Amino acid sequence: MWSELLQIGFLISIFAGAVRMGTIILFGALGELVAERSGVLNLSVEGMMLTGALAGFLAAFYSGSLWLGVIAAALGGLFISIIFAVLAVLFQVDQTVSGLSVNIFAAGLTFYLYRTLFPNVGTENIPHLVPFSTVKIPLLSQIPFFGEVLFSHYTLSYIALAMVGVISFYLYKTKNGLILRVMGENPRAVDMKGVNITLYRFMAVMFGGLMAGLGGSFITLCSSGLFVADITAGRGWLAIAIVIFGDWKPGRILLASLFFGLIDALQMQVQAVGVQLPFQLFLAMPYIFTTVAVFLGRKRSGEPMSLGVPYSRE
Amino acid sequence: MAKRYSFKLEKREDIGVIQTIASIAAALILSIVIASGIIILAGEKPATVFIAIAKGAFGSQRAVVDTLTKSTPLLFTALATIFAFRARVWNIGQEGQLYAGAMGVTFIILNFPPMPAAIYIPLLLVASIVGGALWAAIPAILKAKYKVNEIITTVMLNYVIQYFCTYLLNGPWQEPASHYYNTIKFPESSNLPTLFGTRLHLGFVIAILLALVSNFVLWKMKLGFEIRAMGSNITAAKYKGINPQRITMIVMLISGAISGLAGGVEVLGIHHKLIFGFSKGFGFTGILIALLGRLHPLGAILAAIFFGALRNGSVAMTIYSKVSTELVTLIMGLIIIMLLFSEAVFKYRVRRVEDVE
Repeated sequence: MWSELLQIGFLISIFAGAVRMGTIILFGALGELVAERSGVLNLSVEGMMLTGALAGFLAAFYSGSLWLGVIAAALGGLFISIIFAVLAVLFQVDQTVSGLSVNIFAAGLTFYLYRTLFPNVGTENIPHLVPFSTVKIPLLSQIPFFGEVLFSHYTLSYIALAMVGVISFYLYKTKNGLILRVMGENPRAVDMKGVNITLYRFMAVMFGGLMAGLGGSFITLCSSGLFVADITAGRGWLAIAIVIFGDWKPGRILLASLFFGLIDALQMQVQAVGVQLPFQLFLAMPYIFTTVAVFLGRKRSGEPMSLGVPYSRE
Repeated sequence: MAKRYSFKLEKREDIGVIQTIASIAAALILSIVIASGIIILAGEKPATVFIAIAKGAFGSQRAVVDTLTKSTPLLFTALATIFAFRARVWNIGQEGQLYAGAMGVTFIILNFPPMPAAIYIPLLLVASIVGGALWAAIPAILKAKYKVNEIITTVMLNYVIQYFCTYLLNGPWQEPASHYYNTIKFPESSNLPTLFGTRLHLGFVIAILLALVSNFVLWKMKLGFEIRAMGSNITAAKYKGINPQRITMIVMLISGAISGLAGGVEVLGIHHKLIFGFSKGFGFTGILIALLGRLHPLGAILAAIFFGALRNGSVAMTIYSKVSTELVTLIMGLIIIMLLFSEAVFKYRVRRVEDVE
């Protein structure tokens, strides 16, 4: 068993898997980061991802175009995020209650749509499509080991990784990003400068929706090529946990996502090799690690001061 | 000089009983309108579908019994939610704690010889309470002692215990020679007594009594006052000498205990064995019911029966129309979203104010 585990091919598939699984969570986490930095705790990431996953699948399944699917997924996530934003940002309904309710609504919506469009699906005739194939970056992908681990991925993975840089730049190098960060700490200060807080927060939540939707499309259009109920399996919650664990900083969030991607990949690969442990233990591993991670992340200092607090002038 | 007026939108201090009822009514009407649209899109007549649901839910004695049976676990998980949410402790782990309760029951049954019903049933119900409370103790300690976000831990632990349960049902607890994920049939003396010779079991009575007790605890006892005080303003509560850590522990454990009881009652009253997937999202539906019942135990009774009726009626609906049962899951989600919207709208009022020159 150990000789098998330590073979180079095995290591490559684990680390490449870490990047692949990590980017699913990375999309959701980066979107949530922007929303939380503006002061909004959006707990509906799971619902946005799930809706994105279904919207992406349906658009690609009926049109035959995977990229149309990706766009539809982003719009699906956006749709759910707008419902959340109207409730939590515009009407200032409790953010936790809004997030939980929107999640349950999204679960109901996706179940119903899928069942209605594919009424006779059992366990064998699940509709599926041909998913994206990986894109090898010329030359770089030829490098031994690192080529396969880092440069042979789906286009969406490259996009997610690029977004880490884009969001870092936005948050730390633009005036707009500065306003957003201050808003999460001390909204009164930016309000006095005449900044429209509602508009900013609404946009931040919508951006989170687009990103979560893209993360959802990764699941149906890159990994599996099919949709089943609850296919996101808690990854939206994982994304929220990673924002905490990553201390609300893009770079650390990237590392945290890769770490959880690694656990996910390890879980699948070790199972495939046939280690003599119950497979349910492996399946439970990401969730156990997440619990440990939020425990370890409990003293993080990066949490925006006004996170979850609706802003009103009185 | 003529007075000039303008209209101003302002937020109410507190939302009254009339506004509450109006907002719930508005939410239900809006949901019905949207659901009708969805049904028309699915190529059916809304009236046909709604009548089928109503008939399926209340059309005969048997239908009523089934509705009440289906609302039983939902009322438990809703009460579990109310205790936690009233203190603004966000336990989302009802689903997992419900599993833990059912597993507590199963553990006793599989490891100890059967007993006479008079001892056995109380013992097993206690086992389910202990199971649920134990599983809730993990996020409770993490939250109270280490300030770890309970929303994420409870959601994660839901997955962990369901995988653990699957492992047991696929391993040591599996019925010998069975290909399905379930235990052997429980001894007869463990079955909850049924009422009036119908399928309705003792669990329904326990749930209703528990709702009344919860109401008493929350509004007539010091603990209830402390829970509500912490939920409405934690800083003020601290000044009154309320210890938030203590209340967090207590509400999480109560919440877990009640969710556990939901699981115990469901396996002892309905299935008479532990089956994989015996909970059809009871935990999450309980959260919706608690919110729809305005975090009030008596409101939760009405909301639980309403949702139980929707679930029960959805079975009849699929016989008389080609709409899928998932429609009711969608309707449940719609209702809660619409409720939050209409509540928010009712929080504002238009006032005519005199212009100051």
